[in-house]
Amino acid sequence: MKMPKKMKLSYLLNFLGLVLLFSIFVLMFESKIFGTSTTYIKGIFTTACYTIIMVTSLNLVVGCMGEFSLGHAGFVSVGAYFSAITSNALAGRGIPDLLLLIIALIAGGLAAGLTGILVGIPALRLRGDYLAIVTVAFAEIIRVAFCNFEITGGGKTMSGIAKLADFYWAFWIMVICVTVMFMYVRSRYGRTVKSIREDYIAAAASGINVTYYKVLTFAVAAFFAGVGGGLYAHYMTAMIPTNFNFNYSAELLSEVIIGGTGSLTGSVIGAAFLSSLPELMRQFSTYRMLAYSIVLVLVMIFRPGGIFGTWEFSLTRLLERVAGKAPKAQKGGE
Amino acid sequence: MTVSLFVQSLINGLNQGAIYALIALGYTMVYGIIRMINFAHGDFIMIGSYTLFYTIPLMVNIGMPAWMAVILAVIVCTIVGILVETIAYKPVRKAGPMSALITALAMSIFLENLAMALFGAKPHNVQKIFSLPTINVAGVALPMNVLLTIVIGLAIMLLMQIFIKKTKIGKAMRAVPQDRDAAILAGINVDKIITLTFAIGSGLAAIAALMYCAKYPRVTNDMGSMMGIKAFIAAVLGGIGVIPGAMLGGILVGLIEIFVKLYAPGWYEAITYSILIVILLVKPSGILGKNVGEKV
Amino acid sequence: MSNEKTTPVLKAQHLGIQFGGLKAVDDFNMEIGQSELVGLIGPNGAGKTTVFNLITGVYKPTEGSFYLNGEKMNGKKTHQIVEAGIARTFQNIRLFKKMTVIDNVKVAMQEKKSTYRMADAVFRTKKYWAEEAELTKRAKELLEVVHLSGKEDLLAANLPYGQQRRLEIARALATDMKLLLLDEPAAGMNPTETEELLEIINYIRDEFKVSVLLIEHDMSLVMKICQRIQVLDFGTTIAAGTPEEIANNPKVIEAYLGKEDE
Repeated sequence: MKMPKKMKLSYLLNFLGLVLLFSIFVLMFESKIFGTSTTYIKGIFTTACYTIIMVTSLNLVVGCMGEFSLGHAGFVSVGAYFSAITSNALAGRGIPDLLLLIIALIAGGLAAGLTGILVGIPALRLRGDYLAIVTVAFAEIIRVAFCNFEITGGGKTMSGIAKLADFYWAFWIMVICVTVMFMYVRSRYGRTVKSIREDYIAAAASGINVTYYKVLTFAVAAFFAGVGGGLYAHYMTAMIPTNFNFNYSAELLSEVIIGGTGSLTGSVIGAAFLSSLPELMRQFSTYRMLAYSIVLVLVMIFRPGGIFGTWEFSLTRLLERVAGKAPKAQKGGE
Repeated sequence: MTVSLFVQSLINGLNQGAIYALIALGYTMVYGIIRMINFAHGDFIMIGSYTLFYTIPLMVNIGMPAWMAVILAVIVCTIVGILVETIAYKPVRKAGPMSALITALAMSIFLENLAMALFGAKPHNVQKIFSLPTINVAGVALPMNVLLTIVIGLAIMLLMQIFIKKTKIGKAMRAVPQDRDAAILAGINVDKIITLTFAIGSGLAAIAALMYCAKYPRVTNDMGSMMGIKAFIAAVLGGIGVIPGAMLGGILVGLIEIFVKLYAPGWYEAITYSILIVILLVKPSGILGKNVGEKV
Repeated sequence: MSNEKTTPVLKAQHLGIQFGGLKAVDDFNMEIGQSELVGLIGPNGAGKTTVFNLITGVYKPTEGSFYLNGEKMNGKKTHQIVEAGIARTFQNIRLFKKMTVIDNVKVAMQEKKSTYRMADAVFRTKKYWAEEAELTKRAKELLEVVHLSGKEDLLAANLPYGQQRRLEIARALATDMKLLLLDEPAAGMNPTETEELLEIINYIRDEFKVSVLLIEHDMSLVMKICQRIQVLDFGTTIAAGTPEEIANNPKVIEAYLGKEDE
């Protein structure tokens, strides 16, 4: 059977929407509308792009699988260091920048994904708060390891990483990553993982290999965390293991929770907003985490599902509504 | 390793461990009764330490011994503990353990960043608290601080055991984690019990802060988060919810850290975290705990 | 109507489990033939659900063994046992509450019926669309069997109690099993719902050619539909036979009356 016509149209529409959004950004930056602060603002948007990848990937674990990982920064750092090592090793061999970036990101992602499997197999035997605390432990072990390895700077700043990532490429890499994760969630894989979240005993009784799917999802999440980390490394060009400490993991988790567990839209908007807003108001940046924590408590009390809950943005639905068609009830499937 | 180095490391390990144990005692009690990892517990130590920083000079000025400042620290920590519980934890209590975990994490972030906003990121140096002698025996330095910390730890452990086992409130506390609904039916005011648990746990944090500052007189806004997690590791190792287990776990973690530091100084933290991973996977109930499975 | 010549669908030999010092189930023996409907009854706490948990791999038996179509199942994990052909429902309903009715069924079905890979899902290949359409079609057919047509897109949690129990049956059917274990399927149902349920169980047994092992508290219901009945008390089998034999067995009457007198 072929793709249903309606879906084809919807994918096309979404793609056109992204091209339009991208064009707006290009127009904004190329026309130098922000004058001297163009580079600065571009930087903020780049930060938003890799944060979106990291937060969305964490939401696979938190929203889809229903488990709290407080060690996502560990996977981010594996991706960041591994991709940096890769691009350093391949530098000066005449490989075009974009290709080099993609190779580095994939290498970083795979290293992080592999770490995800190694961590996931033992850790995911635990659930709830014990799992959360064990992910902290693993992330700290990773951090300590990077502090001790010579190739990662031996606890000091690793600098001189090629600046391969700029906003334009980061934007499309972000789009691809989020799309792939969305497709994963809206497939039999996502369905299975959600059933494990709902009731793992019933899932096993329905023939599902609970451990396999949990580790798989954890590894997918770690892979994209690694890609996000790779972008980070090739945009920042310098980093130190303490950048990826417990506080960074907690920050990423806060962004997932505030955006909405189980809503990738929430993660995208939440990450974009929360990572760029404090930058835009620099003078308040010391109060950023203070504000985060207050918002987090308020969200937990008044809107435990996060701001977007499980709601997903759909361009098709929006256009239908604008066109005056009867708004349809939101369905679980596609 | 020479005998004197071994004995010296043993003493250092006991000293470090006794402090972990003091923090773990409060941690394990809160977890044992509310079944919630209170990420903010470590930050109560930080609050206690800042209180000591500001109140010790006052004590000294009015001619009192410096350690008397701990009374004020206990009061401040207890008040903060009750406030945190009432404002943040109580509203989410019915929403399940994960909401509680996130809220606890949020409170930890909040307290750390509030402290940064109030006191800045620079470390504050606390005045000398005890002027206890250090005895030298055969080339080994034995600070009396160590003995004092251990004695205080043991005393608190005993008092808590008696309180939990013998008093009416203590018995009610033990009933709450067993079956909250049944506890309500038995006429126990669960909300009150939980608030009280937090009050005691936070008060204990202030005493831990005193002994911490006696050894490491530096206070920073982020000193609590990692120490809290290490104390949690100690509590898990000993058997979470088991009061003597916290003491045992704390001492063990301290000893292990000091001895690993001798051989692989860069890796000692990794070892501590590995302990947590191994114990949770192999025997999640810890050394002194009992196993409980899930009913299908 | 068990056929002695063929291998039994389920065969349990001296199956037993201890929790601490307590023998929850001891020396449990049972054979279920093709398309047979067997009842497992007994007072509360007799160990009926424990038998289910043993047969589905939730607990590992400390003694004895059990076979599905002659294949030894001991020590296998729950999902492997389901794959081999044993599916169950739960006494205290365990649905995927925040998922739609149809997704509850599709989840249980896809492990056997869909083979598309992650790349198919990511690139939305023809295979993906074809298999998803097939899953939806078959899931709808199963929902029809349990009289839940038209409820596909509701959240499982929003179904009334009786329908939730039927959805659990549809989910179990979706695993394409040979032996269906029903744990008190009529609990909490009114007489009309129970009647409908009996109809469904009979239909499933005839249409799908599966064997059914039924735990039930309500004696009259068991008497009505089961071909054979086995009675547990304090973890041991105290009687086994046809409904008539069980109804007149003094031990059974004592176990039940003794319990009701308390």
